[in-house]
Amino acid sequence: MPDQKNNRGITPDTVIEYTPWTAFKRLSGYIRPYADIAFIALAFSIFSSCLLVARPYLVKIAIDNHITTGNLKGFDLLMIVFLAIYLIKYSVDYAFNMITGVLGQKIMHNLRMDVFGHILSMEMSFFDHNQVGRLMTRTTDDVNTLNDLYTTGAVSIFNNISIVIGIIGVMFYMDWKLALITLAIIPLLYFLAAMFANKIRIIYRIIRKGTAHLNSFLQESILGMRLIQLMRRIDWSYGKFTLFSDRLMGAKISNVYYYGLFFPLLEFVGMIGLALILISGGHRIFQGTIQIGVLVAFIRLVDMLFQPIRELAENFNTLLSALASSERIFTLLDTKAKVTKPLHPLPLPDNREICFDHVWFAYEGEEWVLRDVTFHVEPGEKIAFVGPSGAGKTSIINLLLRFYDVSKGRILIGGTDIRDISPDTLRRLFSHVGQDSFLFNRTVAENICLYSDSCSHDHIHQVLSRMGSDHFFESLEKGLDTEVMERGSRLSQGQRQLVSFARALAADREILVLDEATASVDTFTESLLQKAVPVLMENRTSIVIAHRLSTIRNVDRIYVLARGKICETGSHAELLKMNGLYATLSRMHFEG
Amino acid sequence: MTDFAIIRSFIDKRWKSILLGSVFVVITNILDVFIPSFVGKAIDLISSHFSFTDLYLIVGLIFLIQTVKSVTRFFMRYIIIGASWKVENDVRKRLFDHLLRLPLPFYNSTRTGDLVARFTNDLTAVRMMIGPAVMYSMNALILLPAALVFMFAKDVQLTLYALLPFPFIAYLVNRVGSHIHKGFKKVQESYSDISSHVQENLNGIQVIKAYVCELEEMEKLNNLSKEYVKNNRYIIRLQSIMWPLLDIFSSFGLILVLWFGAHKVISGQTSLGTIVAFIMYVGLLSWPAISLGWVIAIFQRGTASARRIQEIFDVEQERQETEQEIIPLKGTVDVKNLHFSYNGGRKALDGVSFTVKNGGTLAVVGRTGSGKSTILNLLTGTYKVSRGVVFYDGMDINDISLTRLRSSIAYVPQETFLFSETVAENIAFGKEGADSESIKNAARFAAIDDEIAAYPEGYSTVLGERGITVSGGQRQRIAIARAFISDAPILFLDDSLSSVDTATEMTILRNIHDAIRNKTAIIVTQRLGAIRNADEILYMSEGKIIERGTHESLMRLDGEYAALYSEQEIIESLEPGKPDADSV
Repeated sequence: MPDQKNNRGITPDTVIEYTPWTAFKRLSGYIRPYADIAFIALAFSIFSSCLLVARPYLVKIAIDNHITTGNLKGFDLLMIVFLAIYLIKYSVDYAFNMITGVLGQKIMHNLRMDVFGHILSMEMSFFDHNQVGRLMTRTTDDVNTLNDLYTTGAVSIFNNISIVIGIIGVMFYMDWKLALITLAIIPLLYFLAAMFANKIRIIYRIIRKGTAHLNSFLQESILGMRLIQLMRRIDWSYGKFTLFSDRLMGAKISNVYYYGLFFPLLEFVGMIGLALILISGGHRIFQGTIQIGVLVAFIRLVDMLFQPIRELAENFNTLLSALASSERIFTLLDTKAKVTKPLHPLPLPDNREICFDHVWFAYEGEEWVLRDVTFHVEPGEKIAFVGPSGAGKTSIINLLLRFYDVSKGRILIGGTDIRDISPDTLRRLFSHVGQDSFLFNRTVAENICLYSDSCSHDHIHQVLSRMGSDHFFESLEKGLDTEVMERGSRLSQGQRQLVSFARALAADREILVLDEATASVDTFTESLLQKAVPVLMENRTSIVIAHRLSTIRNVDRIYVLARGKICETGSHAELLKMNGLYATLSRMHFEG
Repeated sequence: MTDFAIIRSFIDKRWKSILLGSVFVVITNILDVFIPSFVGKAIDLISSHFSFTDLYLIVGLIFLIQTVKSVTRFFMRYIIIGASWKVENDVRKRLFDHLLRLPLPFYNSTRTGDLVARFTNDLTAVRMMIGPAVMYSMNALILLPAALVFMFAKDVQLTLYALLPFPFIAYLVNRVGSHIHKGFKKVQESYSDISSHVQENLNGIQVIKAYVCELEEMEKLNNLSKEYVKNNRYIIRLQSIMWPLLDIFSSFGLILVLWFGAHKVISGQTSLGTIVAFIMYVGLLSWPAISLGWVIAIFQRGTASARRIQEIFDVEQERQETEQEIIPLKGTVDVKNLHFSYNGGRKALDGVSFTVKNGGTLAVVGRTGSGKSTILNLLTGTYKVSRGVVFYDGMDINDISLTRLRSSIAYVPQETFLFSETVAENIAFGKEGADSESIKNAARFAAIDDEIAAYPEGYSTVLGERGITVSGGQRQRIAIARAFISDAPILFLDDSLSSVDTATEMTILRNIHDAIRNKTAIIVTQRLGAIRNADEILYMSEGKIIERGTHESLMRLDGEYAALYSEQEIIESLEPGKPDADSV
């Protein structure tokens, strides 16, 4: 990629205006296909809450109808019902957890595929502006945040609200006066929980940031350890690490502080509730207006209130922050690809003549990388581009394969504008060898074949022997089935280039586009590469960005490119005779 | 326990806090046990001989206990968990300090991710063992007997019924817990499969587009993602089984108490208040019972992690000498018959000898893998050499402290590494406490100052992950600036200009030439045009020096050097920094 567009600082995180509500609506679009299942889950949730609050009520019946009256008739049945309620609740809870958990995973799967598919459909300039790390975060971490939004957010909020309503309902059903007195603690509880959740949210943010800083500093220090040691920056690094580490510990400890404060306070409020029940309930029992079982049931119900209210306060925060991060995903999904498939793609013309017709191109604004470039390649012709770096050679290939679209002018194949052909159809015309020979973390064979069905080991051996490199891969531990590791790091630079040559040859497309690598490799591999290039070009229209003399001698025509313009055209001999830029460039070798 | 001595020593340092916290654990739990019993009393009071004074007294007592308990519970948590965070912090810093002093070969054989995991997963596991596990197990160990005393005193039979399900709870949590832990590992693995697939696709996007593999790559992610969903489903199932089951078990005790208790109340053997108290005890004890199972798993994981951390501590550090005053070396380098191989493999250096005089320039050239960088690795003490081979100012390298050696060398390694700091800080990395004037000067020397000025915030622009990305050529020039700012008498350049275009390279080399007039320099390079002025040029092949001499003498020799030189001129003539082509 050309240097000039690197520091552009186009912000990839431009967030279009999304309110939490629109984000929520977008997300619910993903739930809709599973609406029936989601509905069942919610019904289960309500059912489970009813069973939950039925339990203290049964205790009340046991006390008031049996224990205090001494009437054991029907008591065993009541206990069996009690037991049955537990078992039913267990099944319901199991089903509810399974349904919502798996549903969440399915939704995340769909969302992940959407995000990934969308990224793959973007044009190359998108990848120039968005760092790999940021895009990865969208498909992995951000999608998982949305899972939180769904499970701990929406589902759990619904669940807890139905529990709280259930508890309040049973209280009022048993005795509305005592209920009113008891419920006096609810605002206090909620206030406490909300305040706590607020504090904790702020601290969590600090902790999250602090952890990220510490870990990235750690990782960087390990990667740059040699430099730190050689430049004697051990004390400096240690000081900085200590700073991050201490700061993180400080945040963790204040986290402990608030948790430490919160739980006892919660208990304390609960105790106020208990005292209220005992005293006012005691009075009412004395007056004979309620029975003792009601009082016991109330004590249990107050206890049961804590969990859902605390969770509600926390869930609300999760919901809000997850909604905020979901904006990033939806912003990405709303970014439209610039290089698109035409609505009504034309078929590929039979004539495969390539024509650049007054092509202008800029990666950014008016900084022209190509200026008014015009040339023809007849089917079967082999041409080369040479010129200083930054002259725009690679851009020509980028445009031909529609990694980018031209800014002005046209590129025609057999007279048809390539923008009217589907990009996939167009690209299937080319065997492409890029400058950096990217390899996937797969086997050598898989890297050569790239999913082609017709590509067997025999085929690969044929291809390699045509290139004269078959022995080269035999020497690897597992031959063609050797895993090449991340970015092909098990292979040398030259071996990687050979693999990408073999990939192009195995694909056997009509037109070769080759961007020769400049990086120097060892003598032996270099000679293999030199021998392989003519094989690649055999019987194929070829467009080559050449760095090797051997390549240049094999082509029909050379275009000399300088500052985005074609300034000379001809064969090696003709260009030398022309005594222009090419001749000067070449002659420098002889004159020193 | 001795197999993680260092972590233990840090725990020992906090023993006072842990002890004090433990005192609060005891008080809290004992107070906890009183409350159900008082509530039971209150119920009995209300249901039989009613006296408001007694009721108020009991409620007042409950209040008092709760207040004290709130305070002690706070301190219990704050002190013990707080201490665990402090221990974690101590170990973390010590471990990092240790890493800073480990020799480079260690890093070549260890994956960064594994090291980071020691700091994250393993350290967390250790902290959980020190903090929460200690606190919860003490909770359980004190609460359980204390509650039992109260319960047995009231009713032995009911106590047995109430406690019947508890062993099952602990067993269940421990068993299912370990399955869940394994399941989580699988989930994490499949998650990182997804991450690396996505990352690879993003890096190789050009190949994918050129060969129209989008659909196949989507399909592949689809499978990976489904695998992830499948692994998650396993965990979801386990959790769906476990959590409601816990509820059942603890409630089982409740039903048993109610069922049999009712009969006892009616027959007058016990009171209603006792039953209510027992119901509350069952609730009180269910969490410690759950946590017991969980605590065992934490201890298992914690000790395993502590051992893994200790393994790192056991790796031997580079030699460390402390010196009062560092006297820089003068800069004569002598190498006598140097042999070297990495990990006992093929010989990387095979009998290399040379001398660079104080202020001299040595160039080392040759094809990839000929051993050029290895020489610099050995000269900087990154790898050990035996005695009698490498000398600085006539002293054996093994007798010079690493601090003195490295403070005398400014080194620009082959692969440029920039930190996620500001540009200025990255340059100042070469010299502690460098002022902004000298930073700018160094940048000017490295022909990067104009470009830095064009960055959004100039020299204060943050580079790297959280900042802007810069091109390979710019990165290399910033690294060069680092060497320029250093006042070390010896300069090592390891193919440090490969991504810089020829014209800029010439400018920088001219500057280097001026700057190193008084410095000893060893320049490793692939580009021969850059080192024609060197006092001596070594041409290396397969670890041996096969040609040596000045540029002129080597050209006259017309051997490998001359061949490589001509070859490069052809390539360079096709690829010149055009505007300055004439100045070459």
